[in-house]
Amino acid sequence: MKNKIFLTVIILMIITLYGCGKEKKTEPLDSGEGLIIKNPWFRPGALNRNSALYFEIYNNTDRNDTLYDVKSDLAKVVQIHETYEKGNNMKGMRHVEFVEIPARSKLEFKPGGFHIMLVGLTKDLKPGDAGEVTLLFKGNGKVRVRAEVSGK
Amino acid sequence: MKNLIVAVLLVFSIFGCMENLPLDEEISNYDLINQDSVNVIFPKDFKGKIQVVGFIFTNCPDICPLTTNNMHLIQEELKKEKINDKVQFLSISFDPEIDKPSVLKKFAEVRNLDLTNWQLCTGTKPVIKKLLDEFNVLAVQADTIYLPNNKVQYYYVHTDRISLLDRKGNLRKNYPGSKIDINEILTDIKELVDEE
Repeated sequence: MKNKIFLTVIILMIITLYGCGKEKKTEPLDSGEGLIIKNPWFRPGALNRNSALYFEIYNNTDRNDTLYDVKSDLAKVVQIHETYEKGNNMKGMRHVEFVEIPARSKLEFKPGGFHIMLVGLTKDLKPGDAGEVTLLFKGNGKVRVRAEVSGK
Repeated sequence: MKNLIVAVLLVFSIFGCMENLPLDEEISNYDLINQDSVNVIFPKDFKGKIQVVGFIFTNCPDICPLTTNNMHLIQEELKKEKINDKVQFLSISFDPEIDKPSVLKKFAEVRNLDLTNWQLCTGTKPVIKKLLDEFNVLAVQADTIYLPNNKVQYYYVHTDRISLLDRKGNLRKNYPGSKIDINEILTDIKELVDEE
């Protein structure tokens, strides 16, 4: 009986630990050097409302890296989020603590998937406007990203 | 073997008979209010036009903007086809507590939405609940974020939906709002334009 309880606890711990980070859908790379952010863009959003930032991360290094935080003056709260499917054509969104980017791979933050959530905008973000966020990586440190607001 | 061939032919014939517009459901009338604080009765006030209806909440940063952008793309295509005047666009919010008319107006403004034939509406909680039930749209409050001023912002797990109503105000088809096939709904709209 004790063994069964011990085994159950271990399994639950593994599941919990696994659930803390998000499984990444990555693609292998073909060229480039360092950790590069490409094609960033913001969604439009009104003052005090929300927006989202999308981009592609190219980890052209031989080390895995982890995006664990985001900073920006553009909003009161800035977090890593993901959209998820709940079945029966239901969609939801949730906070993600961190995202891993394996060595020599590409990870997309894109509509319907991972995105940087900007909650409580400090100004209107209209198409053509620009703004900046700082992505915090465990390995590569701070990476500043400047992006324009798309019409989408 | 003969039975198999008959079965295959039967399946093909059934699929071949399937209509583009599988539904024909009468929709009740609902008292709503639009982005200009004007009262509207949906779908009654828009009868005579084909209605493209999206279900959204404005705090949604990802799925609802996709739905809204898809409606914008549909509108642009209809302009090219010169049938935009035959269609009315409606974005109905299922978050009436937050999405007051001024919020809906600002949501449209920052996206440069063409409101010539597009209204963003909300209503009282009971009215919106009934409306969602009739359209079989689910919207359940889920994750929350705490802002620095201790205010809470909540998000919905919700059905991803754009619906198409004919000129009589009857529901004819549902689509996944964020992933809608633009060509599919354009074909369906043209079919409705050609309907008596």
